Amino acid sequence: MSLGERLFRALTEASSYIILFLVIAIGYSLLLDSLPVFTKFGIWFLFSSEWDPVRQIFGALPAVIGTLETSVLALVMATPVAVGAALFVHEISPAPIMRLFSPIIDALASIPSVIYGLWGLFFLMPLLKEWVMRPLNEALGFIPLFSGSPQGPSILLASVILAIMILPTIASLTLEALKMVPRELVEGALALGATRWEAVRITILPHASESIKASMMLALARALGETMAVTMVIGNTYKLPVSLLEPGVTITSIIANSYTEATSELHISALLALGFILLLISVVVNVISRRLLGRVGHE
Amino acid sequence: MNKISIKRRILNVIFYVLSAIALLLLVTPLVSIFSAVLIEGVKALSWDMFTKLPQPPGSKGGGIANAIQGTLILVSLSSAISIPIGFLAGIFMSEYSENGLSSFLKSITEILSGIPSIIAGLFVFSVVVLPMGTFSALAGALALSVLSIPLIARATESALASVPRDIREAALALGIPRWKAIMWIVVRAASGGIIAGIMLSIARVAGETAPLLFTAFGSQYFAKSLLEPVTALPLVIYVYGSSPWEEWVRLAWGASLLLVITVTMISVIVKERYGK
Repeated sequence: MSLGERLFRALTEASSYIILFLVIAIGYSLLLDSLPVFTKFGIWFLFSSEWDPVRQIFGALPAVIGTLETSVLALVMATPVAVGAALFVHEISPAPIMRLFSPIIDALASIPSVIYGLWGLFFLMPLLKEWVMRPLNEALGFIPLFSGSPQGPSILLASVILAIMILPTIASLTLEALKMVPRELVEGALALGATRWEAVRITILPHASESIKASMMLALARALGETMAVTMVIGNTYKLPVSLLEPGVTITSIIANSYTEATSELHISALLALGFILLLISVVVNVISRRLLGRVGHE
Repeated sequence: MNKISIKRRILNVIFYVLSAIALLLLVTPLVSIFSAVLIEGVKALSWDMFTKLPQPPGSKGGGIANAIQGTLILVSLSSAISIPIGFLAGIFMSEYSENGLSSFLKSITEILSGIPSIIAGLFVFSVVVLPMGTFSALAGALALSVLSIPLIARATESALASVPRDIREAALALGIPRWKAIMWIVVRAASGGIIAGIMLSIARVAGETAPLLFTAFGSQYFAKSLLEPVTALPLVIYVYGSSPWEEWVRLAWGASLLLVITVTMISVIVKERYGK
């Protein structure tokens, strides 16, 4: 082998090991930096809900629960909308709308998250407060989930923004799955006298369900790690979530909110420990979604 | 007409209506966001916005020239770091590594591209900012690179993988050294996909805020050195957008308009030229 050949090969090899190195280094450094907070509070760091930088007391529970709650809620809201839209575009609408669909999805996916946050703060929040949060609170305020006095920034608002942000992930993968369903099956069902809905329910949904599940996991991974939009609208109140209409906190929002204040070693360690927890959760969800995607034949 | 058939028809109509509503619910936020950014952003446009520094809270006027400069610095520096690494890594995965190693490296790349962007910021904070004792443009660019390296590697790898095998074999049969065959023939054949991937990754990191919080940090002034804190358009949108001062909020919308135009232009160009 010539020198050029060996040099080039070595360069490419080194570059791809940089990626491996980064993955290991990220996990290792966050773990290492979490040690002070874990040695001080032990496993209680995970189960305590107090966060007081002044008294140097840190507990992760509200943030972890807030992250899971907002993400799952977002998934519950986004899935029917994304799947429904994909079904409408693929099964019902005329071809021109179908051609417009993927540019729309791409545009939605390309908006930076901080702009979702800004829009959420100035446009969605007043709307949601007036038309959803107030009425919910007045009608169902006796249920703890809808109690409190809705001011705007809230777990519900954060979840709605997250739901909008993960729509493109679910919709695009669902549409791809719909395209892979053999057309003869649908035509056959229709020819046998099934209505459009029955054809969808009998032939398409069973075929596409694995892909939809995979896209949901991928969307969940995105929602769990989403930072800016959530930070701007959730209100950042560090307490265990009770009402959806009141401010809350997520792992990412407490981290993003503390970037100007964290100076003591223990405070920094607590934030990096939260980062480590988020890393673990999101890697697991990501790996599961890749597995599911691989099974249904996306790369 | 019997009863069952009416029930079936009604169900079908419900399906039509609900799925149409779903499409409407998906499109409405997009229209609303774009028109909000356009209307509020245009209101904020002024010559000062591009040329002046931000004013202290409460006073009128001022601009975000420093954020424009900062974004240019951060994006070019992170491109200089991540394009070579991502590109070469993609070549290794597609051209040199055995099947097992290649799929291992590809799944590692997937994992890296799936980590939340704020984690990239925390990581660089821990290994660069804390040891150096200062937030800096360099740290910000490194955090963005952590995000774009896997994107570029994956785009390069999949563009190369789509080049037919015959082209490689024909090149090697002519006696061209392998690395030259890769660089001048295979890469050239895949260049559209590679360039598209690189441009999309630039568009993505240009809008990233979370990784910059703990690294570039933000600043009210122009950057004079790569080892000083620096601000960027997304940081301005976050900080000014959540501030109580009208003038700052106005600048946040202006910054949003600049960012959306940039990101949209890149993706339109990519789509027009490379059909991605």
